[in-house]
Amino acid sequence: MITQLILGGILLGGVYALMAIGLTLIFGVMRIVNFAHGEFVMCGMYIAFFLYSTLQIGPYYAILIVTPLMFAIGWLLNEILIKRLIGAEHVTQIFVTVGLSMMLTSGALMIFSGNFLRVQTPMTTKALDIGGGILVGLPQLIAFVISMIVSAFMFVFLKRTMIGKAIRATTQNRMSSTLMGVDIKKVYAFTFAIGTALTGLSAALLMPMYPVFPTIGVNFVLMTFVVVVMGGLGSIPGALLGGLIIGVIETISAYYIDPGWKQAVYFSVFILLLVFRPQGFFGQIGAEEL
Amino acid sequence: MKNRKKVGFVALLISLVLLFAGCSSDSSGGDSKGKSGDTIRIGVLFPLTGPLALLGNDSYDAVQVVADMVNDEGGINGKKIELVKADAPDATAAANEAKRLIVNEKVPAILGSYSSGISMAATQVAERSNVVYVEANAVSDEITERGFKNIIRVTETASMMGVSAAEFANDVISPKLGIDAKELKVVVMHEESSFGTSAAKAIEKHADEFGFNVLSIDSYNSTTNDLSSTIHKYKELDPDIVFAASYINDAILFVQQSKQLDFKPKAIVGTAAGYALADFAEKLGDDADGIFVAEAPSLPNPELLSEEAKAIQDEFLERWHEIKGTEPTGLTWRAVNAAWVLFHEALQNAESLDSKGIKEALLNIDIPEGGLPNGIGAKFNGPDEDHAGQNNRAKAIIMQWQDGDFKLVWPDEFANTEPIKIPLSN
Repeated sequence: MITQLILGGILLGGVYALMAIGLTLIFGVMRIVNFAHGEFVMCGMYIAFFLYSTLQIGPYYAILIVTPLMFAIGWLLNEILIKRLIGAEHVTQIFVTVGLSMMLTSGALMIFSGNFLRVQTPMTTKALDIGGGILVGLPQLIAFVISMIVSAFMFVFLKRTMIGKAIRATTQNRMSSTLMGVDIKKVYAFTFAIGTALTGLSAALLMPMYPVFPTIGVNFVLMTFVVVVMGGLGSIPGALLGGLIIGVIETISAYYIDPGWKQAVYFSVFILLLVFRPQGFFGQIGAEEL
Repeated sequence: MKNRKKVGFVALLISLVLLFAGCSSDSSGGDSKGKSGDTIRIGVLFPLTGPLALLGNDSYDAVQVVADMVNDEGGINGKKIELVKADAPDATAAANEAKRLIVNEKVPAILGSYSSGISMAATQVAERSNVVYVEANAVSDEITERGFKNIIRVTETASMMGVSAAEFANDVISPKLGIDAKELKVVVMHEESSFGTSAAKAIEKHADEFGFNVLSIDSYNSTTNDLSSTIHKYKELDPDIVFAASYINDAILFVQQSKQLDFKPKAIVGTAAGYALADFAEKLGDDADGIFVAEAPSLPNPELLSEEAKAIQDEFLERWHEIKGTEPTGLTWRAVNAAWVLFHEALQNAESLDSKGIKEALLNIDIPEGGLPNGIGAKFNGPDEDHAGQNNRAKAIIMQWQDGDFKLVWPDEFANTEPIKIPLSN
């Protein structure tokens, strides 16, 4: 049973991690707390749903459309709104992103009403028996594998490419990187767009598992913040590890204690971590001040 | 010097604002008094945005239809009912909106709400201001357990649902499975808010009385993304019946993940909320088939209904189909009942159209079973009884999803058809 629970938790955590990577990049690079992150996932899910219901494009193929589309939306949002927040008071940033999230939720509610929309695919309830009676959900497995591939890709991208290096430099020290000739504005635009594109990718992966409704973002966003802070601001391996740990804590505490307690359990772990390692697993001490 | 100027300016600004505020509230007060000559303004408070918006809007629309029905028949002594809309997506908003309805809009009565958290907050405000509050859709027991004098609840309580669920298991499922009640293994899962908890408590209590073996009781947050751990646990426990008090997100998740993880109980009995919604069956298709739901009745056996109830039902259905194009659910009928009781029964017979008069008229109502459009009756507990203001003729019945249709299967006097698919897996 414990193997089953850990496996289930890891698969669940893979999706959390993917969402968290987008958030941690934005958080780490731009120092903006994007409270609308969950709502971006919701938007992505609606796009994936309509691609399916109108053009019969399955959610996994839809990745190729939703992700670039969300990239473009992210870029646009940055141009219109987000870039004006750089260096603004925290309160201003919070108000704007919380406002954006409410606007998106209410907008979705007006356009699509509160109905639950689901992609009808037999995939949803498929599971693989990997021996010993241990069942692995197929959509969960696919989401996990794609998450891992994309995380690895993002990691390499940040390590090797010029823009990736510029992003990392900005994470470490905004001032110095500006002095070294990094085009900060471009880095910000790019980071925000990538962060948003990743929500689109997660959205398409979630679509076979969960129905979409205007407030689905709320179900994920809290967790994603915990994962990001746990892993350390701006750290991709941190977000990955954080996501997996939260996933496993959820399934194990839900089984052995009570499902109602799982949030309490992972927040306790979270608080302990903050006491002993305030910068998170791979974070940089004092990063939020830079 | 500069600072003093600033202070002076701010003081001026504040006094101006206050002046305007004073004026505007005066004038709006005057307006509402002027209007009340030809309309009766009733506050209607539902979650119209936010996570519960789907259900809140459904209820609001039902109330609107009933108001139209009463108005088209000439209203209340020639006065039209005017709904004052209030959006209460959560408890804080509910308290603020209830206050707004009472203080600014000066309504004599409020009709609401959906979800117990919202109702608890809004009724608190109404009670403090001595304004009568008719509860349509919130079922948590707590609401009428506080000894408030101004709450009238037309619908059943969560524990009535729990009782029906347990009785149905005892009367129907147990014999059909050929398992003695004393041998019946059950689990209870519930979302952790006041609604789920009171339903689960009632199920547990009655399950104990009937001698079921309650193997596990699990609570969870209704916004959860994963119920696999609970399902794995149930697979090991191998219960005959799963009782579940859930909202929709979690109800869909449970059924979907149960199938994925190959968990097949012999029966699933949900209590209202999530399991009762058309979305639930639509999203799950065949997987919803055979699931039982303890719920307020809708479209009961026509023989049960009085002539008048039949007429209300038909007219409501006609108007509803025209606007919405969907079938009303138990939830819709609850809102219809509450609106009908308030608009048609109470306002028509109230000696005065203030809160006191409306409350007295509500407490005088005596409608036998079959008298309201979904088959229940109405008689409210007096202010000094337990559960003051609760309709003691409210009833939870058992519905079942049969091939995508939601059929009333129990008890016999309400039922239109026989329960099928016991056990579920065949």
